Amino acid sequence: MSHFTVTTAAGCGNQANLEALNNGISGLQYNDFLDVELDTWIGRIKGIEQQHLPDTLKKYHCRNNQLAYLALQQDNFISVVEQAKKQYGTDRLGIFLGTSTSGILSTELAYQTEQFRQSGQLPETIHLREQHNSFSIAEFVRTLLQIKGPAQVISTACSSSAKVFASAARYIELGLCDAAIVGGVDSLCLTTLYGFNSLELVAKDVCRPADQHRNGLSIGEGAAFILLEKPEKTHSQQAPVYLKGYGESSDAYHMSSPHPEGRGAFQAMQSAIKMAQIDAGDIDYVNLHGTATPVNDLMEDKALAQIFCSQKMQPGPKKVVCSSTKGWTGHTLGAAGGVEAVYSALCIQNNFMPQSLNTQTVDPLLTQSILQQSQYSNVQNIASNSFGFGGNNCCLILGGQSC
Amino acid sequence: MLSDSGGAVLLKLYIKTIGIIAPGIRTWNEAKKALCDPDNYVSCPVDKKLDSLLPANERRRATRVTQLALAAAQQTGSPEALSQCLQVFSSSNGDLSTFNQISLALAMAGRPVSPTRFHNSVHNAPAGYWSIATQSQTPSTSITAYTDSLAAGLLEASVQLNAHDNVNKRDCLLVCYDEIPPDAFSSQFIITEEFACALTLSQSSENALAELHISLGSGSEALSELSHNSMEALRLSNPQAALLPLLNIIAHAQYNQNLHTATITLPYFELGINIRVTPLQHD
Repeated sequence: MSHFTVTTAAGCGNQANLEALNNGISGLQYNDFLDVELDTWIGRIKGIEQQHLPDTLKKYHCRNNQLAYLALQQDNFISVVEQAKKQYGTDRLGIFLGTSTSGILSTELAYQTEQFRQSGQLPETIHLREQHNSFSIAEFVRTLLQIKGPAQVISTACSSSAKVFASAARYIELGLCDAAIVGGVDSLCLTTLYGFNSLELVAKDVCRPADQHRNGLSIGEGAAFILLEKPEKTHSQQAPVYLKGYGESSDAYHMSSPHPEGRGAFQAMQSAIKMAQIDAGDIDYVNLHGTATPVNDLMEDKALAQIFCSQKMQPGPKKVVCSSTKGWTGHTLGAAGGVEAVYSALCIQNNFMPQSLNTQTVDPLLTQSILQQSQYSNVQNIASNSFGFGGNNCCLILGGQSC
Repeated sequence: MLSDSGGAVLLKLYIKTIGIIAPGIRTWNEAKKALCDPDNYVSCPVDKKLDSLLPANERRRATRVTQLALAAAQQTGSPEALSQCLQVFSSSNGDLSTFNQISLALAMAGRPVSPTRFHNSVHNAPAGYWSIATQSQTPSTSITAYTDSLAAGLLEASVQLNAHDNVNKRDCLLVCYDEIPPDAFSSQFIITEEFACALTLSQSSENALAELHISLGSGSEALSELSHNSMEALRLSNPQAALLPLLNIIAHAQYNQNLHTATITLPYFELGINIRVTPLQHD
């Protein structure tokens, strides 16, 4: 991970997000999204609506691609990509992005118009390819940055943009590309707000991960982009962070509810740790999936307990330091894996582990060490968890030093 | 991984089994017959009711596109064997029908979105149902590359098979499928027939139907077509049916013991991908 950038409700770009993390300032706000009448809080990014895509890319105009465009302009990301294009060639750079709802908001709103009600026809401003389809985000970035290597979108709900790291790393390993732009972009839309509400998973208050009285998630939006290169090839201007391992699994349990014992979450973490060739005890901090639904946080804790309590650790508490950063961003769904990978990278670079924001009383049923205050100490290895609908799980291990 | 003389990366793998659902075709055997004797092929819409190994309660919830994908996938082996495979699901559009239903609900007073419809709306819904049906806990990846999703799926599966983290040398189940889009979208992506195809792919040649060498193309190769009108029409009816020229080589090898190697090209961005297909002797 030689260069990266993140944009969330907590801020545009790495510095703004880092300051919000350091100062414990949440990006969540009471819901004011369009005409959505839900009593809830959201992680809405300011300034998306003001983004104007370049004239040649007008067909791609939708909230998701506007967010991508806003995010790409942070942290000199585009100029770093330009250097990578010179170094590798445009056809040797891949694009692997995750999203769950792409630009469907535009189509949802078109369905609400009188014109659609009467004709059943979408207006000419709605483009299936350039806005609605999940691949739209990859095609937009590919066209904007003039990149011609392999490309795909992984859409596995809330694990989407964690899994792109694994996919891109394999493409690079096998020589199908030399480097890749990975990440995720997901933006607010009606389907996810009303859909999660129908499942009674949306909190009325701000989300409170790991809290005794947590009662659901806050839906957010976010974008993260990372340039992934082979360690020996990087020309990183910042202290690089290494992707050391990834683990993936399926719950085979339920479409919208995780396995209650965290079976799939455990398997994903176990595979990732094994691949990273480290012991569980070498992990300094876990960035939790931590959605703040009652079921998720408990099952994730059970999975962590299996990993960290069963190992032969030296004297000391057999539990791991962990927190969810969704108190800052809300659940950014298909972007969560990418957003939290960049958050983890920022933690490694700054030797910092964020508190579990909004948590008032830690649920006594949780066994692991939930951070109630941010900690400033050496951070070498971080595990970042992402779990999605369909029982789709992914864990990434990031480190300050390569394997 | 190996490289050819030109330096382009080649991924080597084997096709073990094939499952297919298409108009007038319910099994690989029926597909072979259609491809080798196309004059007697009769096209008719895919059955409304498809075989399903989903438990009854899940079958009621699963949408048409999930049922299509699973009907092809379950032909490729026993649930026990398939549960050990890595899984790659690829579709151009996923479930636009479910999007359409949710959006109609969102346009109504009170916006009554059904929770089942909501969980069915994720692109990995077929993969989720599949893992439940087969009790498969292996990694599962659902992708799209719009019109180039078939090649992207084949590449992703080939890469997962050959990557070093496939330490248990698992086979990979690839499932490629597309529904007929609802009316609101039908003019933007013309898909006239339902089509789903599943391949089990392996690093081992044991009992394999064919050996494949896959490489990125140069962009100058012509996309593969089929010579017979009815088969070519079927190929053009659905983006996933671009796999038919590859299946055609294997079908003819089995029918006529014709084991010639041939190369086919699938659409993949500016490049295309080339697949060198070597049918293998199979009793």
